[in-house]
Formats: sequence, structure tokens, C-alpha cells
Amino acid sequence: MIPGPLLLLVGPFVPATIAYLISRWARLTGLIGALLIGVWIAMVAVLPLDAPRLVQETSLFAGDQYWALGRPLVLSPGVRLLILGVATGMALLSLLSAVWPQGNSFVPAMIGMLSPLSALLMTRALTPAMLAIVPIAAMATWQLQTGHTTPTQRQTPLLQLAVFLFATGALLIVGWTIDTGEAAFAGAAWRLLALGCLILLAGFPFHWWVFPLLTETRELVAALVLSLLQLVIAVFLADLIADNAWLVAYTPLPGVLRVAGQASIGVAGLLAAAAWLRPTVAWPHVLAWLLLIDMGVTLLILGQPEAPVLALLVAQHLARFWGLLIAGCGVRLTTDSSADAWGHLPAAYGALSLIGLPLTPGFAPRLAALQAIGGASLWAVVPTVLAGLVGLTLVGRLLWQQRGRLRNLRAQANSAEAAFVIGALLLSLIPALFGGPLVRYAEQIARLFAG
Amino acid sequence: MVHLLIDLIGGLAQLNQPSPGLAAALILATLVALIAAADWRVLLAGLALQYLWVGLLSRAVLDPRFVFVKLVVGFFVALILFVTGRQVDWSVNRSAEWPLWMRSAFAAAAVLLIWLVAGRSGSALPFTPAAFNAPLYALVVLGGWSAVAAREPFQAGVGLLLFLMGFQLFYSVLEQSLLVAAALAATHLLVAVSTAYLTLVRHQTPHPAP
Repeated sequence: MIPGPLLLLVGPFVPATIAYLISRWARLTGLIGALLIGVWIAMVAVLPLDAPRLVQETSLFAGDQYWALGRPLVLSPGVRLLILGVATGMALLSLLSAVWPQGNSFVPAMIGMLSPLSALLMTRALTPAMLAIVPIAAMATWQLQTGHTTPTQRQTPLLQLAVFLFATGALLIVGWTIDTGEAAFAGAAWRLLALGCLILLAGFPFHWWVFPLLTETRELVAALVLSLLQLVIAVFLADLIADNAWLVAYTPLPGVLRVAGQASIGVAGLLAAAAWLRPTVAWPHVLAWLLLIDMGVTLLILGQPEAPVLALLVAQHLARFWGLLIAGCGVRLTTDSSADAWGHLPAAYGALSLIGLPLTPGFAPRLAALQAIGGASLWAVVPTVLAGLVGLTLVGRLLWQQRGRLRNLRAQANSAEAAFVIGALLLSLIPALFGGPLVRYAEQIARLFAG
Repeated sequence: MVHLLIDLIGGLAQLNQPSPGLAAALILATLVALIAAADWRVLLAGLALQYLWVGLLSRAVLDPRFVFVKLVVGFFVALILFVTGRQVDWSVNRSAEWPLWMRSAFAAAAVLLIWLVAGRSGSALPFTPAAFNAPLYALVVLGGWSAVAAREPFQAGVGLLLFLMGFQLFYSVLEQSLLVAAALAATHLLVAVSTAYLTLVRHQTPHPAP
């Protein structure tokens, strides 16, 4: 019998290697990759965590604990549920990459990423957790670069690696200060933790790395890095803050996170408003501004210790994933397809979901977040609402700019792209109209983490 | 082979401890050259020297075996980047860069400013010898700046490695466990490999059709 956590630590490298061996055929890799992730998901889902010995003897992997280099790795039910959600998202991305190839390394690196992501969540100590971030960043760098057919104008992939390493440095020192338990270092601990949170979650004044990531990389890569990876990182940080209650009770950390979140939203709103001065705007830029608003909301949630932080974060990031995915597919159709008119519809729908408008998957999570943020003072939600309205006007302007192309909708109605768009929009309406499963999943994770 | 390694580490342990002040001055001087340099060969030579100086400075607080590992890691990082540079024929885009004297003046002024700030009593870091302050701050600030501002992945990667050296200079004083030392060594190699990969992708010239 092999310890269960090893299935999450070493297991992903088997499908990743298979995907790498066939990566020459990008479409086939997408299909096989989705299948392999599905098999891995099934194995993790049925893994007995605290089963009696009889069951353990009949299964290859069992048990929830494994000691690596003197440190325990614990596969709790909450971690398992979260990783399963992330892996499901990756399977969907892999499947879509069969339609729109994202570079040869996209699928293998994405599957391989499951291993350090699991390690990040399974380890309870900050120092080894931070060291797990480095391979995540390196794999993301690889993906960001292979997602390009031509070299990027800026050093986006290396910029992303640098950002992760800066934050890792700060958080490693936080780990040391917490381990020492000396009150003299409390000031340094909360300041460096705030710095790490702001860098990793793109809070003001470290918001700048989001723009090149969204505008210069391929759509599915951006959806992976800016929603699924961000989900794991946000949950990890929220769990860290919850585990060290003194950070909330005796330091100004929550207040700093709230101020940085409001500043991020303000900057995003101003940048979006300034876009009205430009003669034209493009979807990636609009999505980048809207995403920055969403990331500001993440910081606001983290700064509300009395709210159900984990549930709100999970729901918000899953809605963000769906929004970026739908919008990304739309953007791809507008550039790569003969039925380009149909691409503007999912792009607009994804953007509206990022704003959190009704009838989009982003509505329920945004509403819940605003209720939590506005609990103490309604003024706290005003910047988010105003920035969202500015974003809404930009989406309207972009659609107005494209009205000439949108007239071709009927002419292109018989294309495969039109069928895909209609299917994707109908699929999006399910979480939009019946937000129950999404919210229940998020609440279940929060409950399991708290337990 | 094992005997040779043991002899090397033993030799390092018996080596007269160089003055930390001298090692710090060498780090700062090399950093000026690294920030000012545009030629990749100079960058690479400076980086290799920087690993050596940082290793010598670390000798003041670290076990010689850890210092030896640091030097070996530095050697492999330099080797990876050397092979990369050869592969792309030491490509440098000098067209949009500042003149050398301006870059040198900027780098020298920045290092001087950091040295002055680091010398103040309020800037001292816990458990860290005073001689570490200026090189530590300079490596973190200028390395981080170079990583974010550089146009070329090669230069940005060197900046990131300098940042890591500065961070490690401080962190290795706080935490001297084998796990952390190994993980940080792996981080250096990972950054070097990532830099090499991004540089190759950017400057790879397509092979002519047969």
C-alpha cells in the first residue's frame, strides 16, 4: 500500500510524461491529456483517506499522511475536494486545447503542475509550502512562453517568475518569524505577509504584472494562470491567515489588504475610464481591467476576517475561471475564425461575468462578496460598483465598434463556430441561473478546511 | 572522486577567512559592472565572480560545506548560461540602450546610495553581520529592478539570480536546514534553466531549409 499523498505528489508526472511524449501532435495531446486527467481525478476521488486496514489492503493508494524530508504532508478532505475542482478545470482546458492548440508544452506542463499545487496545499508549514511555489512558477513560465508563436514584446514569462520569487522571498521570512514565535518580529511578519499577498494577488501597487499576462499570452494559458493557480494561492493565503489568528486580531493586516484592494479597484476603474480617450479598444485590454477589479475584490474578501472568506474566494475564482474561459474562446474566434462575428458574443458574456452582472456565472459570487464587504459600511462597495459600471460602458463601446461585423451574425449562423458559441453560452446559463452547485461546492470546501 | 570532494571542502574550511568588508566591497564593485554591462560575456563573467564573492562572504556565518554547495551551484548556473550564450552567438541588441558611461554612472550612484542607506543603524537586519547589509540590500534592490526592467531574458535572468543571491545571503543566516539549502540551490538552477530556455526561444535562428 502506498501513502495517499504520493498519488498527488508523484502521480501527475505519469500522465504528464505520456502527454509530453505525444506533445508533437497538439490536438491529440489535448484529448489524451483530458482523458488522463480524468483517470487521475477518479483515482484521487476514490482514495480512502482514513479507511480501516481491510480497505487499505485492497487499494494501491490509501491513507492521508506522508512524511517527506521530515515534514508531514496531509491530504485532508478539503484539500482533496479543492484539487479535484482544479483538476477538472484543467481537464476542460486540455479538451479545449485540442480545438485551439496552445503550444506543445501546454498540456504536459499543466498536468505536471498538479504535483506542486497539491504539495502547496498539503503541507501545513509555510517554509516548505513556499518552496513548492517555485516549481509552480517555473512551469507557468514555460507555459507562458510556449503559448506564443512569436517572442513576447515584454519579458512576460520571466516577469511572472520574478513576481513569484519576490513573493516567495517575503513569505519565507514570514515563515521564519512565525516559527520563532517572538513578539518582536510580529511587525515584520504582518508587513511581509501583506507584501507577499499584494505581489501574488496583484494588489496595488503590484498590479502591473497582470496586464502583459492577459494581453500577451494565449487565452487558455491566461485562464489557467490567472484563475486556477490564483485560486490555489488565494486559498493557501486565506488558510494561513486563519491559522494565525493573531495576525487578524493584533495587527493592521486586514485593513492594509482592504485598502490595497480598494486601490486596485480604483486604479482599474481609472484605467478603464481613460480607455475612452483611445480611438479604439480591444477585448484583451478590457478583460485585463475587469480582471484587475476582480483581483481587488479578492483582497477585499481576504481583508474581511469575519466573513466566510474561503467559500467566497472559491466561488469567486471558479466564476472568474468560467468568465476568462468563455471570453478567451470568444477572443480566439474573433481573430482566428472565418465566423469572427460570433466570437464577440462569448467575449462580451465573459466580460460581463467578470463584472458580475445578473444572468452570468459571476453574479452570485460577486453579490455574496459585496454583501460581505459592505457589511460594515455600504461605502466600501461603491468603488467596486463604479468601476464595474465603467467596465460595462467599455464593453458596450466595444460591441458598438464592432456593429459592422455583428451584422454578419446571420450570414455566419450555419458555421460550426456559431454552434459552439450557442452551446457554450447555454452551458454558461446553468451556473448563472442555478448557482446552487457552485455555492455548495465552495461552502463544502470551506467547511472541510475549517474542520 | 569522493576523496577529492572531501579534500576540497577541507581546504575551504582551512582557508583563511577573508575580511567580510573586502568581500562586501568586491560584491558591490562587481554589481556596478553587472548593471552597467551590456555584453553578455561580461555579464556572465560578473555573475560567476559574484557567486564566488557571495560564497566568501557567507563563509563568515555558514558551515564550509554549505559554502561549497553554493559555489558548485554558481558554477553550474554559469555553465548553463555559458552554453546558452554560445548557442545564440552572444546576441545583444545595443541599439536602444543608454551609453556605457551613463549606465556606469547610474549603477555607481545606485550602489553608493544603497551603501549609505544600509550603513544607517536603523537599516540593520536581525542576526546579520554588519558587513552583510550593503551587499544584501544592493543585490536585492538592483537585482530585482534588473529582473523587472531588463528587455532581454538573459539580462532579466541574471537580475533574478542576483536578487536570489541577496535574499539567500540574509535567509541562510536565519535558516540553515539542509532542506531549505537544497531547495534554494534548486531554485537557482531552475531560474538558470528558465532563463536559458527563454533566451533560446527569443534568439533561436531558424535552420536554413536543406
